[in-house]
This record gives sequence, C-alpha cells and structure tokens, in this order.
Amino acid sequence: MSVMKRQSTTYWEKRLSPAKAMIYVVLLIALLLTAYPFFYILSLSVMPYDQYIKQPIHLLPSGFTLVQFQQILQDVRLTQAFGVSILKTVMGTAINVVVTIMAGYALSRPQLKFGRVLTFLFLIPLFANGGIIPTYLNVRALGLLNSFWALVIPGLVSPFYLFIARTFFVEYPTDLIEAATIDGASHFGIFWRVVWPTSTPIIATMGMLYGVGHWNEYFWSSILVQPNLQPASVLLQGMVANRQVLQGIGQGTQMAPQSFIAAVAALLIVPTLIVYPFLQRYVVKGILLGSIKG
Amino acid sequence: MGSQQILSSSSTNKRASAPPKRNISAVSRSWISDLRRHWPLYLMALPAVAAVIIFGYGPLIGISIAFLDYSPARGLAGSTFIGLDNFRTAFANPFFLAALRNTLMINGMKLLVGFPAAVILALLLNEVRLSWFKRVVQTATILPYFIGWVIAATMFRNILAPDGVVNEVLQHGFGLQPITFLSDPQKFPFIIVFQDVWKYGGFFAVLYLAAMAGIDPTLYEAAMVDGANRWQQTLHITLPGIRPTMLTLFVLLTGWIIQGGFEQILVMYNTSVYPTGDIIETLTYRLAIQQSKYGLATAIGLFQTVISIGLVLLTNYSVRRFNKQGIY
Repeated sequence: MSVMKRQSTTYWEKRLSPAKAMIYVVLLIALLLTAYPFFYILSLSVMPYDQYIKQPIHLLPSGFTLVQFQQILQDVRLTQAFGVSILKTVMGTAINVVVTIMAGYALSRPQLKFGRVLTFLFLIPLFANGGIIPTYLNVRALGLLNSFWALVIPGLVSPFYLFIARTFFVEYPTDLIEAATIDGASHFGIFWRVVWPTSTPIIATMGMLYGVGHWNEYFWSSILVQPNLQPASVLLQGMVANRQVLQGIGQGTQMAPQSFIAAVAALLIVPTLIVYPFLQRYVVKGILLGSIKG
Repeated sequence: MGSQQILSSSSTNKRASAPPKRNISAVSRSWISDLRRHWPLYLMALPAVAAVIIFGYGPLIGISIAFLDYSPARGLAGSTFIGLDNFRTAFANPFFLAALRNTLMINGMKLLVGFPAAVILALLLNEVRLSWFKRVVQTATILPYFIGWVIAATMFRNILAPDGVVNEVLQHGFGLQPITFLSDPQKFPFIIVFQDVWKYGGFFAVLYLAAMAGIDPTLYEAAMVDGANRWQQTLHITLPGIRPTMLTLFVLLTGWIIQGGFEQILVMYNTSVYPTGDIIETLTYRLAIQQSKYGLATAIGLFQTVISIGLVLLTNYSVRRFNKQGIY
C-alpha cells in the first residue's frame, strides 16, 4: 500500500482545492449509495410496529425490538430454510475446498504426465456451458433432482477457482516438498502433512469464494429441489416478489410485513458482514491471483 | 550440498519425462509407469476431474436438444431431428426479438456505464490521502459484491417501492407525487443498470487499485520533477499503468453483452416491465419452465453462447491488433 502513496506538492497537501473537495463529495455519495441499503434493511428489521406506524418516513432507525426475529424462529418453514442454507454452505464449502485444493495441488505437479491434459479439461467449461435447460436435464438424468445433493454436487468444483488454486501451487516452494520426499513421505503424506498446513491463504480464499457463493445462491435451489429443501434465499425471494410465505406469519402480533422481510434479509446479510474482513482480504487476493495467470 | 543434489535430480526428472521423440508403445508404457508412480496424485485430482466431466461436459450433450423436437416425455432418444427449425422459430418470434433488443440495450448500457464508473472510482480513491476515509469508502463500495441478487433485490424493492423510503421522502418530505420505479417499463432498464454498477463497481475498482499499486513510483517522481500536476500524472502515468487490467476486463465483459444478468432480472422484474425488461434468458426460462419448450429454449441459449464467445474472441483480436497484446 505504501507504494501507492506518491509524494505530492505542498499545495495539494495543505489546501482543500475545489478539485479535491469534488473528489471527496463524489466518494461520499458512493459511500452513501452502497452503505445505506444495508443500514436501511438492518434498521427496518429491528423497528417496532408502533414506531413503523407512527413515522411517515423510515429513513432512520427508531426504537428497537426483536419481535420480527422471534416470529422467524417460530415459523417452521423459515427455520428449516435457514437450516438448509447453513447446511448447504458448511457442507458444500467443506467439500468444495477439499476437492479443489487437492486437484489444484495434484494438477500443478510438474512430474504428472496427464496433468496438462487434465488441466485443459477445466478450460472449456470456463467459457462454454450448456445453458439452463441442458444443465437442468443433466442433473435430472443423474437422479439428483429433489435431493439435498442437488444443491452441492453439481457445483462440486468451479473451473475458475480451480485455476486460482493451481496457480497458487505452481508457485508453492518446491524445497518443502522435496525435503519431505527425501524423508520418504508418500504423496498423500506430503499433501496432508506438508502442503495442506502451509496453504492457509489459498484454503481461506477458496472457503470464502465458495462459501459466499453457497450462501447467496438462489436460482438453482429454486428449480432443483422441492420447497422443503429450499434455502432461505428462495423463501425470501418468494416473500419479496409475491408476498408468498407471509400468510399466517405473525398472527396475534403486530408487525409490518416490510419489517419482517427486512428481518429475514438481515439474517442473510449479517453472516456476510461478520466474515467481511476476511472476505475483503482473501477474496480480492484470490481473484487477483487468478487474473494474473488464469 | 543436499539441496544441490535435489535440484539436479529434479531437473533430470523433468528432462526424462519429456524426451523429444518416442514411438507410441513407449509413450503408453511411460504413461502406465507414470500412473503407477504417481497414482496418489491422480486420485487427488479424480473428484474434481470427474465433476467437471459430468457437470461441465454433461450438459454440453444436452445442447443437441436445440436441433430436436424434444419433449421431456419422449426423452432424447425418442425425439426427431428437426435441423435449424428451433432457431427459425426463435427468430420469427416477436417476443424473442424484443428480448434480444432488451438484452443488448441493458447489458450494453451496463458496460458503457459500469466500465468507466469503476475506473473513475479507482482513480478517485487513488487521490485520497486520508487513509481512514479511503478504507471506509472502499469497504462500503465492495460490500454489495458479497451479497446475493435476492438480497440486492430485497433492498432495491424495499427502497423503491410505492411505500418505500424514496417515495416516503418525496411524498412526506417534499410533498411530491410518488414515483413508480419498478413497474414502469421506461425506468426499469435504468434501475437494472444502476443496480449492476452499484453491485460490481467497487469490486472492479479494487482490481484497478491493485494494478495502480504496482505502478513504479519513480515514474511519478520523474513526472513531478518535470512539473506535471496531479491530473497530468493521472492521464500519463496512472491510466497507462492500469491499461492491461482495463483491457483484460473489457475483453471479458464484452462477452456479457448478449448474455448474463439473468438472476438479477429474474429477481427484479414483473409482468408490467416485460416490454423493456425481459431479457433472452428470462424469456427462455419461461419458455422452458412454463411452456416446456425445451428445444426452443436450448436453441436460443446456444445462439447466445456462440455469439458471446465470438464477441470475446473478436474483441480480444481487435485489442491485440491495436495494442499488440491480447489476453490470451
């Protein structure tokens, strides 16, 4: 970062010139436009009903309640959907990461004769895919439709992420591996005891990339599985687009539907915000790693 | 001493594994010995390779549906070959032509607005000396990249709804009439473009900032000695410095003019904005799911993929021609 700090003339440093003021104003607008919707959803999600009714404008938070979240907890469909979201994200990501890191490492080994051919296999799906219908029919033909695995297995490995992982291992220090080879370690031993523990940055990058993907994924979950296996993102979309799911929720409680929807959305946003520092650190690094050689 | 030996042994290994000429049986024999020696490595790659064959190439077989009068009941084997009929049907369909126009309009605008917006955001951030301010703006502007389209749609629908916060401010703050944003065909494409720039602008800006960090600082020092001001430095050092990144992203983004943006439109649109907001993918999705026109939908999808790859190759070719450096 220090490289980016160029020395500047005292004039620019000491005085707020109109040009500089303009820069700050534009960036402030960008800040507001991107941050406010998050703030708005969170503030709406904890707004008590009486406050919602009283205020004509809901620009800022007023009051605090967890009634909306209590109602979510009392609805079986929603708790189940969040359960699916969590399970899909945790399990799917764990499998994705192990599969991708293993393959990325193996395919980066120079002694592997099929390595180049196998790596090339991942190149074409990077650009060409069958489209929605052939993909759907493929999953159906494999008998995965309406099973939990339909949410995990078809996205087992992302070609793009595999190339990122492979690039990392191409640059992995060979002397570590060679030292272990001399000590008589097997390929598996080298991978699990030497490579895996020393590859935390790429494992974190992969975990973040796949994890965010699973957590946010909507479309395939909406068509590949029945409602009882659909994650929270699908239910939220149903509520937002055509007020599905909302019937029967919050009976006997006073609650604005907007607040309830905001609470469901907040539950999907907050985990992302919690891991956000890691996201910023690892995802951007990973993408940069991929774009250098990918 | 030890490391010397390792180095020399590994280099002989490499040479031995790629001798210039061998006959076929020797090649296959060496492959078998390679498999025998390195089978654990192949085993490690197996799950990913199997997955890419099944889920990356499997659907490509399904592309044949584009040339068949396919129905789910008959299956692939029971369908007859009808050549390019599905493509003819598509191009005779006014809804497809409207969707094609909407796709080009919306995605073209996304590129025209979003591409420079990210560059400008990065350039502005690069001028900021207050590091905390820079960090805050950067953090906020990448935030939308990490949320799903459903969340983005929830935010925009909530904020722009007739009873959303924007209309609340217009009505109760300024006494104005409420504005219909999301069901007005005139405004819908612009909201989609704005939302796309909102979601991706900060992320692309980070990629440019990373490229800017790699620019040799002595260039700026030399420019300052020559009396160049900040604007001239930006124009003659920063922009040329991020040009490779800009070109790479531009080439990749041109592929999205004809396809892409499906999930965004799917979660944002409604029947009243079909005239301007229905894109090719949303139309084919409805053709397949609601009308079971699988062949037609697949044909349209294939058309899109071919045009998209063609556009990327063409842009890459022109970039390479005019700059002597493409991305491949």
